Amino acid sequence: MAFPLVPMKLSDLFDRTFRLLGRTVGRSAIIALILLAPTALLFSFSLGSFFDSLVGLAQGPYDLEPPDMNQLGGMFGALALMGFTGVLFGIAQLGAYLGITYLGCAEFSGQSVTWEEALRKGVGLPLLRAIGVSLLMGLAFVALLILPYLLIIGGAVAKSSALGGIGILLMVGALGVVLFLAMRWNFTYQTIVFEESPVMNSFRRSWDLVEGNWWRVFGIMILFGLMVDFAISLLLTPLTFIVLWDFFSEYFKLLGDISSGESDPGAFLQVFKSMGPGLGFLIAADAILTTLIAPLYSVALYFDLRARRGEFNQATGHAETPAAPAPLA
Amino acid sequence: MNGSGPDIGSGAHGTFLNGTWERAGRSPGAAAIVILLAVGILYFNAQSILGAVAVLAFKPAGVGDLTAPFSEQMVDVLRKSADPLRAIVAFTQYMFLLVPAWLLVRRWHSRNVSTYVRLRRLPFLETVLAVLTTLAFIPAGTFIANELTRQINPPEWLEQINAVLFTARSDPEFLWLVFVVAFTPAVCEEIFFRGIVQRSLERVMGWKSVILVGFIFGLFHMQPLGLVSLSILGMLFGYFFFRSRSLLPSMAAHAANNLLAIALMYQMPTLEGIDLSSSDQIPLSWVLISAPIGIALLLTYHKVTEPIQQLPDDLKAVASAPTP
Repeated sequence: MAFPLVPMKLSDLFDRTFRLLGRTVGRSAIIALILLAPTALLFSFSLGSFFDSLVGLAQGPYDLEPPDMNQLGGMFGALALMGFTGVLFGIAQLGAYLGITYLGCAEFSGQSVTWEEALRKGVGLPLLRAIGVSLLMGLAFVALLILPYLLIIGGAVAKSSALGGIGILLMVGALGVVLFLAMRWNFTYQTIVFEESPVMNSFRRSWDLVEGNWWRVFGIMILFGLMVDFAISLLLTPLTFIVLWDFFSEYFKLLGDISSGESDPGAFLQVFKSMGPGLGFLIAADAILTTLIAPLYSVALYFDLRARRGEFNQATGHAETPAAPAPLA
Repeated sequence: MNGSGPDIGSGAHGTFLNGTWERAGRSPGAAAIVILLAVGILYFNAQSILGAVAVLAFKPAGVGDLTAPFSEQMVDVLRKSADPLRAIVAFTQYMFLLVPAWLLVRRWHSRNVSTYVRLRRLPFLETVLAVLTTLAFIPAGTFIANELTRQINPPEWLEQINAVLFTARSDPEFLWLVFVVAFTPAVCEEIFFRGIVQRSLERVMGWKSVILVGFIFGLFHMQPLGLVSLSILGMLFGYFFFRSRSLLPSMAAHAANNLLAIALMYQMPTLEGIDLSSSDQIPLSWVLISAPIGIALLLTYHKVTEPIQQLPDDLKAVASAPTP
């Protein structure tokens, strides 16, 4: 059953989000697992290898001699593998986000789609467009932040408090602009996946949707973000203990040794090594849980903004134009 | 007699469930989750910030020897700031857990909050049985938590932190601890978890809410090693609430559980050679004797309480009403 396509109060947004979650959680979990489980496994493995190579390097019998090039090469290889699998994991996360967003949008407007259809949306052309959007957004944000950052670094190097101060002031301003843009471009993925907008049009469309509602979008995104993070942290706290059991055992042993006056530098390395792939697993679990929920409140807000712009028939609560409008040129 | 007090279904929901959330036909389950998370964020942040302020404020007076090991400094700071920290625990439970949740229920569900959360009298026997059942399960819960703690082997000073905060050294201090550790959580946490969260979830998921909220109760304590025992305790309290349709048995059981812990630490810090302030394991024989007693008491509780009545039709209609 479709949700009424009318402007919503905050309580309605909560209600719709949880109902949407209830209706889509099974299909969303399948999409998230298909895309995220293999890439998360790779990422965890490469993270473990990187930690191992770091510890191996630190434990080597080098004294004051420079480290062996083979060992260094191994470490950089592990670092490169970690970077590659990290990017792969990020792309998979974006794909899952798009698939679940499509599922949510379809459900909201009364269409029931299968997880296969939603998955296809997550890995097809929309994913390429979403990667394009992410890269452009990232470039825009870096371009805004790079100058103040360089001024702060320059100020520190030249020991010039004036330069550093200007850099800090500019950084505060730049962060404000980044925040402003991030909210205005918050609905690019929804328009890409549900309205089939091309990259540049998705920016324009999202910009228009947020017009006049910036503070509302900002407040709601912060509120939902905090609540989702809190819920996930509640779930991950015991999971962290289970997954990193060896790490905590070593850590507590180290604490006990320090308080009794016996500190062994080797014990620190052991603590570090025992983090292993557990950390990667936790990052993956966090990503999967976030991906299950985060797209849905954005979907509810996206339909709210569209209703506020009068895109649906206010009297009947149904789409005056199709809920998914024709692709923009 | 259980059903004597006014409950959710005793009148037309149009007059009793008169809050904004109810009038709009929104899901009570969504309201429960929103209250849980929003109030949870408020409570944990308030407690952390005020706690940090208290520790910092009392540090200069409390710590003279900065060359002492970190562990000793830590325990010393906590000892010096124990009273402010206890006051903050009590204050935040009332101001940041109970009050916001109460106000949200009043606005969203019903102006008659005490009826909504089922604050109503019960026969004395039911409350006593709930208390005895809880006490009988304490050795089993302690055994599980201690076994996990023993496995991970935390340093002794880390274990002392709880003991420092929750061990009285005089009778007035003991009374103060009874208020902070036994009375306050029994009132605030029971109204919050059982009276509000479980109460609202019960309307959409029935008995399963006992399991879910029990687990959430365990998670909210942020003690990974105590998660299993705290969740079991939470489910036990939830069961009392669900079965009796009153908050009193779970409040009394919660208070008794916490009271026993601080009373033993005060009167008998070592019991038959076991240091209660550490994770010294209690004998398995205690568990093997007390757990069957607990199960027998639970069965008795089940027998003496009335069968659970199904939700009245008008309430079912509210719970499953489609969104307008």
